[in-house]
Parts: sequence; C-alpha cells; structure tokens
Amino acid sequence: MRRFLISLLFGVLLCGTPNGKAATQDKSSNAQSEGVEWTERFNQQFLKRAPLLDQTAPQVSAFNDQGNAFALSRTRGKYTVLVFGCLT
Amino acid sequence: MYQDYHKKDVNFYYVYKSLAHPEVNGFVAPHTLSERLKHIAEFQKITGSQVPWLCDSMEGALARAFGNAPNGEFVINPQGKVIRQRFWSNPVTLRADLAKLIGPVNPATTAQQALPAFKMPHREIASGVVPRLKLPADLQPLPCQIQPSEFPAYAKLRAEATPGLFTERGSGKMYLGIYLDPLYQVHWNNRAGNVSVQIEVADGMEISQANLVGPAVEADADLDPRMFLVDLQRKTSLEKTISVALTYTVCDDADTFCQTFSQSYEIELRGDRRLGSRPGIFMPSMFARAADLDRDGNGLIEGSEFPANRATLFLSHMDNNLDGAVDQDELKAFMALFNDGRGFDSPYDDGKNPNKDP
Repeated sequence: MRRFLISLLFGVLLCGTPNGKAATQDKSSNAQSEGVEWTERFNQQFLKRAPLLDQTAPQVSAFNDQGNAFALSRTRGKYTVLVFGCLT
Repeated sequence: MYQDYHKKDVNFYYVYKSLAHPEVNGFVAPHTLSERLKHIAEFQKITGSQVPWLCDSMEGALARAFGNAPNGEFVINPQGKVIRQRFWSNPVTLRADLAKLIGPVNPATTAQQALPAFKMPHREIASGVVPRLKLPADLQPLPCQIQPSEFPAYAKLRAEATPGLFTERGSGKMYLGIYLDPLYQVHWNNRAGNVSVQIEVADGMEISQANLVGPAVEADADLDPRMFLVDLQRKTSLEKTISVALTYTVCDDADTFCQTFSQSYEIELRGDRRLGSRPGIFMPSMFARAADLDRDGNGLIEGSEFPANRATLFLSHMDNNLDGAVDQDELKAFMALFNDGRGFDSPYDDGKNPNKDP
C-alpha cells in the first residue's frame, strides 16, 4: 500500500504540472543544450584522465563471443568503433 | 548504425566489461568468462542483434587500457589511431562522426527498426515473496573471490559495505546478498531448508552475527534474493579479508536435478565501484524524490536538475530521445526495468525525503 501511495503521489506531481506539453516543447531545446554541456564536461574530464585521443590504440587482447582470444591489432585497415558497456 | 555502416566496411564491437547494474533485468554479475559469454549469447538471442561483441578478461585489461569509462566510445582509424574518444556513448554524435568519415546513409536505420526490446523471458516461479531488506544508501561493492568448485555458482554472493569499514579500526554494516543466477534457470528449493551463510572474520574484527539463515518461505520454490545485513567492527588495522561460506539447495526449472551446494568466498574490505551498483545505490532516492528533482515544475527533469555528479549517468539510462531531459514517459519506462515493473523500493519508510525540509 505504501508503495502504491508513493507511486500515486509521484504520478500526480508529474502529471499535474501546470505547464503541460507546450512548456515541455519550449524547454526541450534548452534541455538539449544543457544535456550536451554535461556530456561535454564529462568527456573533457575523461580526456584528461585517459588521454588516448590521437594516440595509437592500446594493443591489448580480449575474447570474441566464442571465447577465442582476439587481439585489437586485428582491426587495423578499417575504421573500428568500440562501445564499452554490458547488458545492464 | 551497425546495419548501416558495417556494409561500408566499418568494424563495430560492443565490449562487455563488467555488469554495471546487477539486478537490472534480473542479471547477476558473472564470476567467470564463460558466464560473461553466456550473457552475450543471451543478449544476441533475445534481441536478435548482430553487432559483434568482444568480451573483456575478468581482470578488465581492455577496459583499463581504454580508461575505464562506464560506457566509453572510441573510433579508431585504419592506421590504428584513436580519433574519437567519449566518456559516454552517444549514437547521434557517433552517426555524425561516421557520416563525416565514411559518408552519410539515407535513410538511416533507427534503433527501433534494428533492435527489439531487450527483456528477459518470464519464468513461472514465484518472485516478490521474500521481503527485501531496507539497505543503507551508502553501501559500496566489495571484491569477492569465489573458491574453485566443480559446480557452477548457481547462486552468487554480492557483498557491500558502508565506507566506515574501509578505514582502520572503523565500523559499519556489511550487506551479503545471495542471488540466483538466471543463466542456470534454477530456483530455491524451500522444502529442503533455508539458505545459510557462515562468516569467518579475523581475530581483530567483531561481527554481530556469524551464522545466518535465510527466512522461511511459504512457497515451495521462489527466485528472490536472500539478503543479510551484519554489523562489523575492526579492532586492529591488519585484517582486510572475510571468509564467507554459503549452503543452499536449488532445483532446475526443467526438474532434472535438486541438489545442495556449498560455495566459499574471500571478501576484501575495500570499496570497488567497478563492480557496478545496484539500482538502489546508483539512484538511491530517485523514486521518492523524483518530484523534487523537477525543481522548475515543467514536467521535465533536465540535466541541470539531477545531482551534480550524476547527470550524465541518469541521462544515459533514461533519456531515450536524447533531448537532454527526462520526461514522464521516459521515467516510467526506466522504472519498469526494476522489480518486475514495480519500480524502486523507496529507501524511506514513509516515502518522504528526510533531507528535505517539511
């Protein structure tokens, strides 16, 4: 019951804001630039901490999805995109 | 984007480093490389994604070499030089990069076209039947080393502690969570007894309870984690490890075995954020405070309204349309990822934020 009440309160507060859709649209360009600003700040901090840009990519090995060793040097000769993450 | 650009001879790789948010979608942090590979196979099977994966070593050599960003993104040119580096992957910017480097693709494949929703299959076993402990918001994950065994770790230990325990002669709370790994499709056999945990600490340490037993559960079988919280005090500066032994009985969903297993772990008393954070930690009070975050009351939580050092983290998980803010639909979609759609457990008993003036 407590969880339900919290959900209800949360829903009402967000749904019931007086500004509605128009305000949402007006704000979206500001919000977008703020989002870019935040992202850029993190990128700059990352570059300072791990300055890899314009450097030769670290030559380390990992595993392919079959569990076989995979040297990053094998990607030479093509543009390569690496996106780090996981399932969650 | 993969569909558009791998035809243009661009290599794409997702890199599996570590599980950033255990419990989300029911995933449990793997103990072995083969379990990581099973996660990848599961992802490919459920989503039908064709993007190739690289799997980092358990030591995290690849992630470390590339700066350990949580969702780092890199473009490497054919000569092997890094020409783009981002802390957080951004598909819009990446597509712009590739359009500039290789050429634009029109019409571009959208994520909805390319990748169906990633959702773990539902299992017909009881869940949500064991009350969850209310945990301190400042818990940090502890490195746990499982002792070798001939059996897979059907259930896995996650240990966390409050920062007081990382200091010499400090005191604090240690959380031990025992999670069934959905990879093995097993469930607790509650008729065969409760999960038990034996904790062994060094002489220079005091623990409130060394032998723990999970709650009795009415259902014959369930999937819920078993959660324990103990008080610890370090009396000397030397002790830094704790031994934990688990005993539990599980049956597989296909009814081919029911067996009791024992597993042992060595826990290090140091916080390691690379081990990821459960939802309750990485946004501890999001559920109860969402309305507070929207300070200007416009129905959007903008980047500047999130806690100062968490904006990018929040936005990357919730801002699906990449407009730099989280709207109500995005928030609901995000909440639906947790606890079978029930959202977060509020860390506050009464749902109120104690940090806010009445």
